[in-house]
Amino acid sequence: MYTRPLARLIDQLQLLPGIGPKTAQRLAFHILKRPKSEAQQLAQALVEATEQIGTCSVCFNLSAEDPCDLCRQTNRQSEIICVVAEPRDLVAIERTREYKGRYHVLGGLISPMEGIMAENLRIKELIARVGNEDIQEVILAINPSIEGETTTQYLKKQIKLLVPRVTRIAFGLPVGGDLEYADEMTLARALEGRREI
Amino acid sequence: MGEADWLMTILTREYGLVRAIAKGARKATARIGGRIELLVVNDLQLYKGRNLDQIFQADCLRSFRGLSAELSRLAAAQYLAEAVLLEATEGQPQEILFDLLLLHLERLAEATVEQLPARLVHGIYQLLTISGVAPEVYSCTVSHRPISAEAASFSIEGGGLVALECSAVQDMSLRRLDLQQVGALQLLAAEDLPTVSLEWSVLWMGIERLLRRYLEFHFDRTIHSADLLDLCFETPSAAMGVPHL
Repeated sequence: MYTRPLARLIDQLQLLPGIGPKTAQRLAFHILKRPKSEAQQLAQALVEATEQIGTCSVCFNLSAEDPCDLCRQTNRQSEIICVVAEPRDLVAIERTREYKGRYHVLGGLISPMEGIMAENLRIKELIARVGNEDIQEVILAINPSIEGETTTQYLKKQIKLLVPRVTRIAFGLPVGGDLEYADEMTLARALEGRREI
Repeated sequence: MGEADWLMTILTREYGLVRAIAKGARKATARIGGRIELLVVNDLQLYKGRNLDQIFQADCLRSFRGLSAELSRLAAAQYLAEAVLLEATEGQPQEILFDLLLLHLERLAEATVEQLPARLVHGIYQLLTISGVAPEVYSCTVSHRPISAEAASFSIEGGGLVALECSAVQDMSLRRLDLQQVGALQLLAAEDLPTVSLEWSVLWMGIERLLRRYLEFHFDRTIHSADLLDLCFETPSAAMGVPHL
């Protein structure tokens, strides 16, 4: 139905997450409709990103330089490490502009049912960092799912004795949310994590 | 499937295993998100889809809050859930399996760390029972002679205990069990374990390894969650004294 290069482009686009056959077709036609230079820029960006981006040897965030920008910044609090599961979680926390410490990206969560264990993640490296650097607090910014709980409990056991303070981000109602529509689990968490005002 | 969607495998009483999508469940503002976590009992309403059903309403009926307070409890609960998934089938009622999972998750959530191996092993044995492949623990699988208050061997391929006098003549891989291990295996057939036996964590961890191999042999699958359980109970501090049966 499609000419060979177009079919190949649609097939490749379909490999991307959340892209089905229809969307792939729409994207392919859009790329072909735009000036050739735009398509070349896109292709070049893809090649450069895959060739240049690796992981930071300190925090394991995605970065074209090693160490990454965040690890090189001297004005950040080096005695606090925020542990996140994925680089996109780090981006979410950075967007708040509230956190000024360092990061550590685990590269996933412990999921025993899927066979993902601590040795498949950057936990050993976190323990080494906490042991070797002067760390006063480790903040666990990990999802409150069963896999997240498993990872949190595991990390707590491993690093509790190495660092004065291990904390976890609070869970509860989203800002602008309505109590009436909150689910029971979230409300229970919100009550559990209540604080004095 | 969108980036914020969740693909879920749900065990239902009425239809067995159901795979469904929870649209937008990963968003922080999603009303459904907290309700459809792992190991939570919900009253769900689903659209029938062409390939996958879609969840559009969930009411939480029961959650096992005690599970997430301790790593070994989480490991045991995920182990049990993984074992249940081996037995569960799609498109047919699974009432007994569903109730069994709930009962044993409740027991795991309430158990102390020392009681977890006993609670887990009991749940696994009961699961094997309803699957119709529970090992024979009261008589020799070769001679059919009753076995009581004595040491014996255990054959995974043979399906249970083998009396010592039959062990020598059989061409099968056998594991020697002492009197206490045989007694513990025989306790598992009861609806609940005697309270005193709950504390024998070293003994139960040995039985767990035996039943794990038995379960994996019968379902021809590996229990991945067992690795985490091994990690939780590898230290001697979790162990309690050896019982007298």
